[in-house]
Amino acid sequence: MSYNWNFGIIWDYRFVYVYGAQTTVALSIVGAVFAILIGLFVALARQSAPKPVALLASAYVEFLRNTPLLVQIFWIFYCLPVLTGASFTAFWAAAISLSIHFSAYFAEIIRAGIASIDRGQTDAARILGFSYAQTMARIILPQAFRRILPPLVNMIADIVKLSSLASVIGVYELMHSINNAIMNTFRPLELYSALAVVYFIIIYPVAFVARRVELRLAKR
Amino acid sequence: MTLALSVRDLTLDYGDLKVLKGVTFDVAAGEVLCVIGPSGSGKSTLLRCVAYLEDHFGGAIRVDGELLGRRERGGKVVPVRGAALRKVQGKVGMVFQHFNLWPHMSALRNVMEPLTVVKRMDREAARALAMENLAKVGVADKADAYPPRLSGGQQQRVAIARALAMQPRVMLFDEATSSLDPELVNEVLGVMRQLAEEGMTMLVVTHEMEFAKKVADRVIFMDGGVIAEEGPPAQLFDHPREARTRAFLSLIDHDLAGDPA
Ligand SMILES: Nc1ncnc2c1ncn2[C@@H]1O[C@H](COP(=O)(O)OP(=O)(O)OP(=O)(O)O)[C@@H](O)[C@H]1O
Ligand SMILES: [Mg+2]
Repeated sequence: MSYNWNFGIIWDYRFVYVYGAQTTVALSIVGAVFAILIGLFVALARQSAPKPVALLASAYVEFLRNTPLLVQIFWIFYCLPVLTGASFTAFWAAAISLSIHFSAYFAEIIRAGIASIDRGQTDAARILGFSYAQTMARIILPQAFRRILPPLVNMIADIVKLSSLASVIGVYELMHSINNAIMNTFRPLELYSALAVVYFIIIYPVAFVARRVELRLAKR
Repeated sequence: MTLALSVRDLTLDYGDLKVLKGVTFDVAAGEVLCVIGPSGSGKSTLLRCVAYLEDHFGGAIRVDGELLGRRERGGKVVPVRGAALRKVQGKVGMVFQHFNLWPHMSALRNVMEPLTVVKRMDREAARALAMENLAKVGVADKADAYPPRLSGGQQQRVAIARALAMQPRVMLFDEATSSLDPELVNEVLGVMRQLAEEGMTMLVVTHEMEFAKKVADRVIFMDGGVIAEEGPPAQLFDHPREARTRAFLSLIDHDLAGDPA
């Protein structure tokens, strides 16, 4: 097998990688931040809201976890505008899809983290006069955070990986940008190999920093 | 005589299980009331109601004359929540069997946190008051240690300091020494005894019969969710009227035979 490697092509397309990576990172950050916020909200609703709201929150989680992200992306991009009259760019459609899809997983992770904290911790806070919000913010969530952190980081890595699905609605993130470049150059081997490396460069530091934080917390 | 605590017809069910079946008693200001009784008789549940950690009880609990978690309105009793509840709940301090210190905060922060968060004291004043209370229970030198690094006895004394710093009207102790190694029990009982001598109003669930004999003004014997017998320790321990009190005490005596008191 003799394939004529041309690694120079990667250098020629370096700006495509850089711009693609910027969009991928932006999409992932927006997706992760909103997914975590919505997830926290849904987790608290499942745990402490009145029954109907709690059930609704459970249904939300189950529905999103049992439908494909790809379908959700298409639905939000093509169907939601028709139903609501609101229209968003492909970038925001993808960001909203990632936020909502992953919020269901974060809700589960956060709920499990909160549930793992001994009930005595809450009892002590309540008898000392802490409100529900103060108990959560100062006693429960800081402790749950240590246990939530590892699965949370895994999930953030998944968001970066699955942000590549945004390519299907034409968001110029890494995947879509490189696919386009390959159409022009017919150089899939070089460009896809480099693409994998670029994803690795984005994702690995996240896990690395998380491990450091985890170690620091454990030392106390 | 002011009543620090009055409990009237207190009932509590967990589903079909009736845990408290009408409990009535008073604690006068400065009085120490010990609660003894077999496992499952409802002692912890009673304390959790007085601390308002259980809210679905029937009957009435008054702290310093004020209804806990309820309000009388037009002859009807309705629940209250939020700040109105916490105002009365704040008059009650509680010490738990498993300490329940917050492990992500130093001993000092454990005591300061409720002062800054709930009482909105500024940090310096809170620190001074926290140190004062840590010193009072003899753990000032451990102020910067995190709970997992402290012995059980030290943890429990920090927990007592945390409750005391909030200046409660009534202190509840739920088997405060039951999870301690035997050699650490006395340091905690010593602190409790000192509090009693200073005139703190105390409701103490305990298996330490010697403590109850020496420190309590009155003792309640609970069995099956009711008060089976009540009286001064000399009477209840030495001349129990009820057969079940006698049965319980003989069992305990057996268990503790040879134990240093
Ligand atoms: N959250 C709960 N849900 C259901 N049942 C409960 C709950 N808490 C306590 N119980 C039950 O209520 C009864 C009384 O329990 P409680 O803890 O008040 O007893 P206790 O007198 O403190 O016993 P011990 O000496 O073992 O601490 C027990 O049968 C217990 O199983
Ligand atoms: Mg108990």
